[in-house]
Amino acid sequence: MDPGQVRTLDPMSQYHASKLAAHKATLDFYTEKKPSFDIVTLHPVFVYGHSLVQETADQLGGTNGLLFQFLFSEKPSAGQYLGVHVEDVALAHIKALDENIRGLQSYLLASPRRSWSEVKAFVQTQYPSLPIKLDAADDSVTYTVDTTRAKSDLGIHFKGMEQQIQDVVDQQLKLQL
Amino acid sequence: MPTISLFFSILFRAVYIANCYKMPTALITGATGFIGSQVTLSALKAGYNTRLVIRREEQANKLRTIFSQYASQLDFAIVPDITVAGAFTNALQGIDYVIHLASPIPSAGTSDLLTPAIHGTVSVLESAVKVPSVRKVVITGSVLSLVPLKPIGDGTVITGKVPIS
Repeated sequence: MDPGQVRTLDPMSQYHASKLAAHKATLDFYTEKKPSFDIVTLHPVFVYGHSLVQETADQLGGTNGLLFQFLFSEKPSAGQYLGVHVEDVALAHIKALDENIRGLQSYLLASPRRSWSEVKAFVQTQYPSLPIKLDAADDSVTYTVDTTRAKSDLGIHFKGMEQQIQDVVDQQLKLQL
Repeated sequence: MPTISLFFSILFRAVYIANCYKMPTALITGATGFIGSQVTLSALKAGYNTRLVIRREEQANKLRTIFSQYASQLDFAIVPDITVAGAFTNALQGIDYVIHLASPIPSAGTSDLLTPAIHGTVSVLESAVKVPSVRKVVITGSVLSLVPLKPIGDGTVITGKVPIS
């Protein structure tokens, strides 16, 4: 990948390129240096949930901020809801330390994909007074993520969309009081 | 019987200290972030000792407050720039596990994300090679590390077996 070319991309593609490049650097390192330690790489989709570091409502940012943008925009920039609970991501890191996980291993972390219609229905039932704008007429499946190995090797039972959204919205509503 | 109680108090203290030494220590980068802070909490709850890598001294105060219940398992290492070669050499001494979460996220005015992402990762790995106590390095990427840069859609299944170029 040519850094000069990457700089001409839009910010999200630049971010994407940086993730590809960092992962490739890890794979190359493992092949070339043959380190005595094991390497585990973890690959979450959008991470949602309670933030331990957020102190005020206006500090909402990162992926939790993105979730609010999705809920409050008529047409979300993502074609579908694809998330993973932050507590599952944290757990994956601890399970990855298990001595049975050896060599170089990579794990995808995601709960099952959901359509924006399902998200809209859930939020409207759970938070009837939250004025979300989400117009879910255009449901599409962009991609799904195979998390079989994270479930079998790391023993993760992924918390679903409902828990993810609830933990973000509840914290935000509490901070807005 | 003061001698017996003294004996037990010394015994308990010895067992306690032995346990402290037995529990492995994890070095964590990015602990001030959304994911990193939850990873740190899980590591502390699981009983690990942690050494949190921060850029500035002041960042330790907030983390000490968040994890006040686990003060005895908390330690800090200040690394102003993780992309510099050898930046982690001192911080890694005595470390069993490395959990590397720190990485650039897109924000206005950032001209180059590629260099810090690559150098941050390689710098950790290169330093870890020189520290025999390190048994494992866990690196947090993104699903995007396994998705090609060209647009995908139509229900493609991401399995992690996508060729990377």
